[in-house]
Amino acid sequence: MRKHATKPGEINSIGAKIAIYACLILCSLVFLVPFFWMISTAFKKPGAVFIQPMQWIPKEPTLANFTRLFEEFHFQNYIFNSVWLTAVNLIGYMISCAMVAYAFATQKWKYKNVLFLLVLATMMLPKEVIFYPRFILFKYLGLYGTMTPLWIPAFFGDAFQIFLMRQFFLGIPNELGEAAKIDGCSRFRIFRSIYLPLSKPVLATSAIYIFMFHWNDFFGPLIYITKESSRTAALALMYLKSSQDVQSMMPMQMCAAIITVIPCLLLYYFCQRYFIAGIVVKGVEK
Amino acid sequence: MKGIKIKTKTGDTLGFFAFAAPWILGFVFLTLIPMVASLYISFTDWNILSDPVWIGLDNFKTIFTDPLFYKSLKVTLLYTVFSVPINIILSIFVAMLLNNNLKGMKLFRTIFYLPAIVSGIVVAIVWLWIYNPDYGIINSFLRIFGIQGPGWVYDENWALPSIIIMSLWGIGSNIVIYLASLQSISTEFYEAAHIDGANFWDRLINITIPSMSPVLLFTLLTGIINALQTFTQAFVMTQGGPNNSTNFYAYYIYNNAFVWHKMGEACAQAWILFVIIFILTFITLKITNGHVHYDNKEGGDIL
Repeated sequence: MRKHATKPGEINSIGAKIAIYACLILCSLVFLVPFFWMISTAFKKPGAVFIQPMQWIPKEPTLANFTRLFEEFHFQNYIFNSVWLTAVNLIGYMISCAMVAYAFATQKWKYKNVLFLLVLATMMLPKEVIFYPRFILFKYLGLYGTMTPLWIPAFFGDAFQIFLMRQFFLGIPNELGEAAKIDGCSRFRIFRSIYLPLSKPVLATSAIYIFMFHWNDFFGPLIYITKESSRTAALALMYLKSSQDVQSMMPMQMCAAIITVIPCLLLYYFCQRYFIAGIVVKGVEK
Repeated sequence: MKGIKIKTKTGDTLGFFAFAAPWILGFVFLTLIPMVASLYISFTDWNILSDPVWIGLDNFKTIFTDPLFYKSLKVTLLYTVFSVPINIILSIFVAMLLNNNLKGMKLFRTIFYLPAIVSGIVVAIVWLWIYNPDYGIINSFLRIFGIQGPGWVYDENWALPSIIIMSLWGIGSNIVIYLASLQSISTEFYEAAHIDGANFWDRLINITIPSMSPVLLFTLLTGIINALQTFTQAFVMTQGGPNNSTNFYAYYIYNNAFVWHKMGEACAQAWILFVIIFILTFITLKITNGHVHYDNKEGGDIL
């Protein structure tokens, strides 16, 4: 299908080929410059940061910024917080979303389609409408300043992931479940032993989504976390930024930025297929 | 017989509720009740510490006579009106370039997609330095040609355009969506057009764009909704300045709630945002109605 997606024969002319490559190379250079700058700055000595004209490749590359980030600012603690929070969210959302999606895809109730419309409708709500009163709720429960409000919602599902998984579950033939039922399998058994193993692609796509969102989340931690020791990597980055000593802080900010981006890059590298599938499903299926 | 049937039916319903329970509970306690509370709070004067005091429509009156409210609305709408269409047009352009059967397209796709996996806070911090008037890459580059660049995010006139330009760094996910959409267009259309002697623009307007229209509509809607909720850029890069030129609406709500402790006003503003999003979505759907072509029933199969 892909071979002749444009008009057949169109790109046979050398001129067109050169034009396409020229455009793409120019655009991608512009896209890569910020990354290149990030990396180059991270390895610069504090004094070299503001030297003009700029050194694209640091004359005296150093790892001191990274060591200082860990030894002086204990960035590993914040990474640990991020890892922990992301992991709990991942577990919570995967369990809750798969269960709810299974209910909507396979279980019977007269009004379940009406209820599913409600699930879809909640996707349209701007987060501001829910976020502030939710904040008050958690504050009343005495959970303000703890990490709890950042993972509790995970166990109650997310509309978009439920939607994704339900679509996939609907594609699994009903007969499989029916046959298992006749053999005396419970609903939970059918869910665990038939539906989940058959749904690995969509589960992977969802997991990537959830990981990316919570690893990168900034607004949630900003609002709920008050203690320095429970900051996540994204939040700690913000505080690194607000320090006064600009010359030595900038390379460290870039080190921290690189460290927080690396897990996402690795995930992209190893799970590209599911990554792309997720974005495409998001765009095309809705 | 009848008894058994009823029993299985209740069993089924029970099964449904057992599995759907997490969402139902979450909807009631984490969405519905907070929403009702938010509506109530928007009619009160409340600083979180003391009890809320019912003041009727006073919050809305204050908001609608507040010049900063109109300023933040203007900034947010300007940002939306520029960043969303430019983003879509550029993404289509790049996606069409990538949709050629040439070597290295996968690598290019990866390069364009990379910024989209970087978190908003990292993007904001990196670009803040890129935009630095004295030491940033852009002005250093311009200086080679003897041009003194503007103050970017530090300049009242340039701050909003700077944030719009920066948002284009993240067009990767739209590119990937459009590329997939382009690749699913049947080649027969293009072959027929080729026989009819249609040129590039004819094909773009009569085949490519109509075939992509459901996806374009979707990205347009999500683009608008996300743009209206822009927060991180204002919070991290400009603190709404200079002179409120980047005082985004969501940032203004945040300040009202957590800096000035005017929770009542913040909730009222959040509901106004909700209404704005609803109206804009409605207008977008009305305008595009009849221009979006679903070539098969897949779209209708969702429910």
